[in-house]
Amino acid sequence: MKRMSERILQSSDHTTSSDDYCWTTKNLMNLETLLEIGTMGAGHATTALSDILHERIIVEVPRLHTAPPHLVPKIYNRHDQPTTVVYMQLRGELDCDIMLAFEVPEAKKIAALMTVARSPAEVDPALEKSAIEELGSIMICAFLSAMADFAGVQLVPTPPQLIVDSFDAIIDGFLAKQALVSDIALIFDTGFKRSGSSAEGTIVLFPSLELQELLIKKSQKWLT
Amino acid sequence: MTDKLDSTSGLDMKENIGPYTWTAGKCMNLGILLELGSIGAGHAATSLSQVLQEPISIDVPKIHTLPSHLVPKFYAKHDKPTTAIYIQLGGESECDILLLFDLEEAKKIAALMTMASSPAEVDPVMEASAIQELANILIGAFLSAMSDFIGVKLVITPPQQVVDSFDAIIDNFLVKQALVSDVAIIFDTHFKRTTGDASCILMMFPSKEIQNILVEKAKTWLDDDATKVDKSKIICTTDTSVDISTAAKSENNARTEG
Repeated sequence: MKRMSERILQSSDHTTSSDDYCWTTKNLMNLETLLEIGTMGAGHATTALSDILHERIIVEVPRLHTAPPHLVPKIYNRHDQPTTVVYMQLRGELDCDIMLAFEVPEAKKIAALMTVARSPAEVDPALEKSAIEELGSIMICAFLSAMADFAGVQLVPTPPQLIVDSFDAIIDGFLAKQALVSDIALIFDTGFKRSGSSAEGTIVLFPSLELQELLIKKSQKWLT
Repeated sequence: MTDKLDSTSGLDMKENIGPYTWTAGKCMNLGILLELGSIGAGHAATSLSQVLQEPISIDVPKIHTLPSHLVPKFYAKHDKPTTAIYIQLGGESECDILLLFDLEEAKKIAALMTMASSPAEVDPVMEASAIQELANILIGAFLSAMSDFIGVKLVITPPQQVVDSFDAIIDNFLVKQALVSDVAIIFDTHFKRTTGDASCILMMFPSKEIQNILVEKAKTWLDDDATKVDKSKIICTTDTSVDISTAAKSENNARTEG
């Protein structure tokens, strides 16, 4: 199994053999680069959400997780919570799974706001599904276009898919994909909250090694 | 068990996040520690080179943040006979610093230091003393570079020598960190004599307290530096205002003369 750090966190640094948990100035900078690109995307995505709902959105500090895949459900600690997820994937060679996750009641409330319904119970289920998918499409595309503009690449996503399941069941599939190629999962996420609600939404990105490599390379070129 | 993620390493400071999660703030804290370590490592390598009168090559300094039980696997030196010199920071902020040599390499270095013609000729007592002195010099250089930089007093205990297998030596220090965190934080850097093939490792096991102190001090140092720049700007502006007023005066004078 090829170690992640050899491939990306140390990309273009072949002289030092290294481990997934070992930080030099160089791979720390790569980590910060990915975090920064993610932060930009998250900013755009939440702005889009704020535009749609005409509401203030509070954004949490964006985070990057580098953990063994089996520990990731523990980091989120949401295990069996029913979750509504809009899932999109990048098309082409650069694989990347992106999901927008809401707690089920929060998704209903947002759908009601979008369809100008008086209460969440009044929304037609088909319409609710469509509204949430649309929201996911808008936010994820805002995220991707910020990233694509920065890196100067084309990132075209698939149409949105809606999943309602327990949180761990949903992320397991994405984690398995990363676990096939690396001992360590690299996940970017940002939490955000409507100012009128206590429930949190999350954007989670599972970038493939190729995408990580590309983003780091492009931004290094951009910096120099 | 590493599966318990609620106890965190010191690096995240006040942010309440797990050991595997990175925010911009935590990245910066780790970067600061790494940079401080690099400064110290440079000085230590220089003093080693001066003692041995030989060029020393130095590896990229690294910080490891990994579950304690994986550390021996990471170094993969398991039962290798190792000479280690152990120095601890005095005061409330605990920090263990180790200088590790292969047993044979330590003998060779002792021979070089005592001007003996071969490692076999060196008296064992003399050898122990020489190696301890070397570690004292190196670790002293390492710490004084760090303390000069951030302006904090770091006082050390006398050096102690240990000869044992590699894993047995580092286990003790890992246990200490494992008591307070799931993830061990280790700074290390490798030195190599150009004529020898064995490398020497300088390892630091910083406690949470010392991590916090170092990061906080370095940050205030950065802030001070920023204010210094501001002050010089202010001086510049007053200077130009003086210039303008004198220019205005001379103009006025010219007018009155005219």
